[in-house]
Amino acid sequence: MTCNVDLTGLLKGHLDEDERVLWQGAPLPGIRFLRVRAVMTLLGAGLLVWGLAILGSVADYTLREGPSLNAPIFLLFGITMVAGGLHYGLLQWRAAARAHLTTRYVLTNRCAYVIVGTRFDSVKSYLIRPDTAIELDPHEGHSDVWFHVRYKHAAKATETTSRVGFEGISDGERVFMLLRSIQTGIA
Amino acid sequence: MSETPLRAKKKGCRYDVRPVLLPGETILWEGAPNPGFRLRGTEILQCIFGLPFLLGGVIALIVGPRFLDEPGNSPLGLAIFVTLFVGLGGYVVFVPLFGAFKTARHVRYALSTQAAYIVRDWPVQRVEVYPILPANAPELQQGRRTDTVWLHTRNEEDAEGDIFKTRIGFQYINNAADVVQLIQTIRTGDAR
Repeated sequence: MTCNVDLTGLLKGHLDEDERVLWQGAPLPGIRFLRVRAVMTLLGAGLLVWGLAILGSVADYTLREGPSLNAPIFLLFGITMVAGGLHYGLLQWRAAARAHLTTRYVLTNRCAYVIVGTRFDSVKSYLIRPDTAIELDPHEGHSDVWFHVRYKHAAKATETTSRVGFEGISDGERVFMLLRSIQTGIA
Repeated sequence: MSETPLRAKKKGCRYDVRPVLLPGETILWEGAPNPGFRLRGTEILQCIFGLPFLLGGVIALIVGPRFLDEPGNSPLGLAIFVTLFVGLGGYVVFVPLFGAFKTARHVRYALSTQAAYIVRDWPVQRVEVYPILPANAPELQQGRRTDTVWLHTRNEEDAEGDIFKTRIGFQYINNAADVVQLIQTIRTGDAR
């Protein structure tokens, strides 16, 4: 998908002098990962039902018996569950539907960048190393490209890996090849 | 030495890695896991974890209707409880069991002059690439019937912040010692 946002401008200050943009894109419109989202929605519905039940019980008890010391704790618990339930049950669908408007991807000869936000104000960069594991999920009409980036865990004195991706892009195979060529130094 | 060409099998994985090879990169070996039902330790734990939820839902479905006449009980409440517990419990229990049956048939392996490829077409179609570098030593784990060549280890963090190790490799294959030898030639640069 072509972007009509000046991504190179957004990346000023992030790019090194010899760093070149090889590809830029965005998720295609539409909601993907439907199975995972359905399970999350089921979980969210459970949280929402239990949260509402707790809030209802607190309201019922307070109306019948008057205020109690435990009520604020249950109220907080219920509100947290309702918020979690709303997020996983409903709001995740909205975020997924808007991803093509709020997410941009850039690949340079050194790093992968994921830029998010309504004003594209959050830029995360991920160094592509020669040993970075890369995955391509080809689907009908779109692909997901994932890379396992490493983080140094200062507190735990160890290195952990996180799976980051360019999700729902139209030219996944090309991006996959570009990532491979970055790793091998061809790019 | 090739066992099963990546797109030769009638059933199972049919994705071909050749279109995503880099210029000059050639396939040295192709294979697949031997068929079989294999459940890993974490998957067994997952099944055990999901079982109480599933049983709770099933018991509620059988016993629940008898108590609907009592005050405070409603058919809607029972339906929600049963749906959630049977749905989630069933998902947690049956997905790994189903996967243990299907995985071997839906995975293919390839070793090129530069990287190891793992291709799956279930539960999603996926091509994974693990570059073979001089620093990455393979590990041969011999089994009774088949062997495994571990290629890649990574530390991942779960939702609680605990770090767990994930190992990736060519699992349950024949000729694993030959594959290790091939990987050594790639590491030393003799395979190019």
